[in-house]
Amino acid sequence: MEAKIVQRERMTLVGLSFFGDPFKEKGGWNEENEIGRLWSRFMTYLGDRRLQLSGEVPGSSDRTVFYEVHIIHPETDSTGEYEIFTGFEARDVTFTPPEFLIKVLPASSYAVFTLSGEQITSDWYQIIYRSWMPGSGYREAYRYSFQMYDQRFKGTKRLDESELDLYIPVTADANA
Amino acid sequence: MDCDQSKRILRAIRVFEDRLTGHVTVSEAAEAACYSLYHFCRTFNTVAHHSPYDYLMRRRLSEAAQRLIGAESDSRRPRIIDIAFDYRFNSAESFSRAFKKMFGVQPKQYRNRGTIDRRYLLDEITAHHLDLMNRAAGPIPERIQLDGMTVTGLMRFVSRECAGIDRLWEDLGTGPRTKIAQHSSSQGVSPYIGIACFPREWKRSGLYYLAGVRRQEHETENPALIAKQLAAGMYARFSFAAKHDELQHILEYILQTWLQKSGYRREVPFVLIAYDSRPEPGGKAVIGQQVCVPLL
Repeated sequence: MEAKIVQRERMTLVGLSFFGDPFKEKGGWNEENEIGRLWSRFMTYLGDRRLQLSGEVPGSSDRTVFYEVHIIHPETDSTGEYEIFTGFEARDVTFTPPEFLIKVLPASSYAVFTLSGEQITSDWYQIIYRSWMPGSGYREAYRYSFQMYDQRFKGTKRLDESELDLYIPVTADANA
Repeated sequence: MDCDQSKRILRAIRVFEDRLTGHVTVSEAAEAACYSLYHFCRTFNTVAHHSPYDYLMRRRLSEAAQRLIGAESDSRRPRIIDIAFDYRFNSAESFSRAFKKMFGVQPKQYRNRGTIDRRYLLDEITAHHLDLMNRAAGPIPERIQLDGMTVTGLMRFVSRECAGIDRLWEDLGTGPRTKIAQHSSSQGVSPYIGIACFPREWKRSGLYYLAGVRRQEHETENPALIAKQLAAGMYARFSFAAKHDELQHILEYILQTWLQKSGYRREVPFVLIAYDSRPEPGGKAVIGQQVCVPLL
């Protein structure tokens, strides 16, 4: 996988989150997992007129850019549980409706990978952290990563036509 | 689910099973499967229908539950607190809380009851279970309404491994005393019905199995046969293509994994199996089966 190194300023995201095993299925009649349910909850609000955030929402003119942030918890290695946050960037959160949370990601350098088609559901984490990072001259700066969804993502049923960008916060590795 | 995925998940399960009384993290199981933690959790859930940590906890509690009953005499039985520590719980309270969540009663009550109800346990998920799930029409059942029915046939106690079911089908209908008239299928349910019954408070590890035929009314003239009447109700119907000796794994998946996650009550008194065709002697043939669980 090829990486671009970019700088991003501090990001303020507005959205919803889940903590636990995001792939846990509820069972019963609907095998949707927690990530799927989080997105469903989030999408419910997008057509809602109460969601009037002042300021512009950056992104392409025809489509808002969405983010899915994965945040590691100290017990993640033991239990496989962590936080998933889904949301979009907002410049002014003064009037954020109570249904939403605000997540602030620090300014950082990021290694950006573009995943397309099958790569999206592959074990990209293993490839990046085990193969790319050692020897890249960089190390993990924070214990989170995020996926950016824009107009290139066509939906979970059209993954073979889709692309998304994966952002891994990095810092120069002094020992490299 | 592909073969490679199943093998990797089985390696991870092996790590958990080898360390039910030892220290283990989900991360270590992920390493054994050669997946990142993220991808491991996704794949484990897809293949085994449990999250990895949930599997580990349920397996520990299941083994602890069996040790609580155990074969030792009263004076030699381990203390509850020792069992709790053996299975990596930090305190009697945390063990009790987790135990009650899984079994519905406190450990002491479970011990006093003295019986192990396999519907509430989670047995080790093996290659057999994964292979069966691969052959199932899907892990999501259909929800159906069945009318009341009478099933007439032969019933016998069978071991947990369900050995002897094919013999029951052989005995049914071959001798003059057990011969039973055919009946056409109706409501999408074939006439050949197996009923796996779970007796309450039963101390033996096994179940009662009835091999029979669906009848409109009770067959009274053949005293060798028994009739079981089932009330109308809602069922979850799973489709499998499997051999007789795989019934154990089918029941374990449905009762121990699907039902416990579904939110429906787990103390189902029976499971109904509608066979696509009359089960053949020998039990080696793969046969289409609609396995129906009553929704309580």
